[in-house]
Amino acid sequence: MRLEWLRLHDFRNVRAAELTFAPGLNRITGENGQGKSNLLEAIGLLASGRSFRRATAGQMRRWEQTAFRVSGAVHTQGWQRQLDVEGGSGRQVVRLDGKPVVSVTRMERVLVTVILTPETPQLVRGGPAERRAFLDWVIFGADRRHGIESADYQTALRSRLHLLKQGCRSEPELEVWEWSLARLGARIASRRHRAVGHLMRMLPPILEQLGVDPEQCTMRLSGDLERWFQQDVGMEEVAMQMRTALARGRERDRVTGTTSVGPQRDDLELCLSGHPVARFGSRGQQQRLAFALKLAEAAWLEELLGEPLVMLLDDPVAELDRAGAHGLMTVLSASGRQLFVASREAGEIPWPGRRSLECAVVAGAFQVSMEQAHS
Amino acid sequence: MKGLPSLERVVVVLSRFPGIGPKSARRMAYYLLRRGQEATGELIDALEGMRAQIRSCEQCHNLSEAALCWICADPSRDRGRICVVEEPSDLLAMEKAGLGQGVYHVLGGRLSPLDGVGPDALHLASLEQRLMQGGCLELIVATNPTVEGEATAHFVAHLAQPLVARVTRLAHGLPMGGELEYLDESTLYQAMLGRRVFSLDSCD
Ligand SMILES: [Zn+2]
Repeated sequence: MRLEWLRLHDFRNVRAAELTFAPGLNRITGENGQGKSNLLEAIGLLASGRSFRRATAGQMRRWEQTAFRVSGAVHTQGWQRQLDVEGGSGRQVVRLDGKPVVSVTRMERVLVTVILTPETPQLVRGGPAERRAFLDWVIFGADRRHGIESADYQTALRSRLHLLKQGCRSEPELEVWEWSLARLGARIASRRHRAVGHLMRMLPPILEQLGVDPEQCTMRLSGDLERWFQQDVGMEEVAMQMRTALARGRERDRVTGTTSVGPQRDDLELCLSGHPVARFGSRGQQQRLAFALKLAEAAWLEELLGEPLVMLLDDPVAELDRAGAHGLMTVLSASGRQLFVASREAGEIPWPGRRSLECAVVAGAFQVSMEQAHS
Repeated sequence: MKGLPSLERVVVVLSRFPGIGPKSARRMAYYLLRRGQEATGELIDALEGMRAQIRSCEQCHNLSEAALCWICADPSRDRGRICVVEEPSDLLAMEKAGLGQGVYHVLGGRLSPLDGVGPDALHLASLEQRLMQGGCLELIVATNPTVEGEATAHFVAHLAQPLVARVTRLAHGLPMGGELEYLDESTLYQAMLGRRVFSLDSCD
């Protein structure tokens, strides 16, 4: 799939713009604060209906304007589809081919993006919650039910803790929430288990191209349910074990105000030569591993989609050395994906491909030029 | 409030209605004013009539204008089949989809500890009594496919299984997180046809 054109209206610092893109590399250049990331944000918004910078609609509309509009045409599976997002005051409206999309969670996968930003290494450096969120997002890309069930699981967690704190002694009432938790927990854990398997299958060639020895790198999901799944226990059996553990843990959970068993405690543990990268890795190693995970996500999504997706890269070489940057861009140019790469100068991004489009941004205005490779 | 406080009060009350924003509420209030005494009187009479007449069915807690609702009073209904729903609006959705051969039991809500709704706040004791009287061959649990609806269904099934031969649940394939009230009739019909025996151990 590729984004053919994009129209912006009162979006961030852009009054009005219409841009046509190249199928391969699209460089977005400019000084910081001129609006490079805004363009990436607009593309991400078309893909998912939300801002990857977690901005509200009010923050995305141009100063003193009531609403913004972002439109784009996507060439996918041999068709041209049009996406529009309008927002800024009241409800955000997403349209596909002119028809309103009822719920973003049921949105068709017309435009699928994977995004690398300067915050991406947090995925490796940060706490387990970051990695769980990453895994859940990856799964949500493949299975929309995961989003709803994760939200339901959170409701059930809070409901049971609330009952425990209130001193509820009604066995059947506690039991129904533990049953919900176990049933949803087993489904969530089983999807995570399979997703990690897919990511591990995709990772080795990607690691190699980024200059990390795949033999030295291990990844595993930790957690009680995952341990049970690894013992080849079926879903219903896992749910039953979780129910038993919840019933046994009531008193402890009441005192601590947390739930001691379940996928909310999972972590995706990443090690290099046996040492956790989060604590012992260099910043460069952490960034390479985080990028590798995102590229593995992209590869798995493409397997499901049956066509290349679109990648958005915001200042990707910030912490990479020359070799790392070269490795990353080599992987990407070989992938056949349409790329949008924001950086201060075009020269920062090594590009082995022949032609690319450069879109220079100054104060929300764009200047587009096609260029041949710097040889 | 300065200017027209009595009008503003009407606007505030009307804008609490589902699907009615402040703008529509204002248009409704202006409409009533323009139509004069007669229109306002008609609305007041209609509301007072509803308040005086509508009560809860003694047997199933459906909305009713008599001790028993029109469904419980209908002798042609199959009393061996009781369908448990959360709200009267869900009952009406089932009826509209042409699924009304049996009778109902309206719980008056769903379990939701975070909103302070426990089993005592629902019509569960009267359901248990009804089932203990015997005669129910199938209890169909048709709570909404939300996490609270599922927990409620589980609670009802737990309570009913010692008393009823067959406890069933609407088929999955209902959109998750949806509400019966807003489902189209054919989806509801399919869910009813595909209903299956409630299993307390299934993960689906
Ligand atoms: Zn009745």
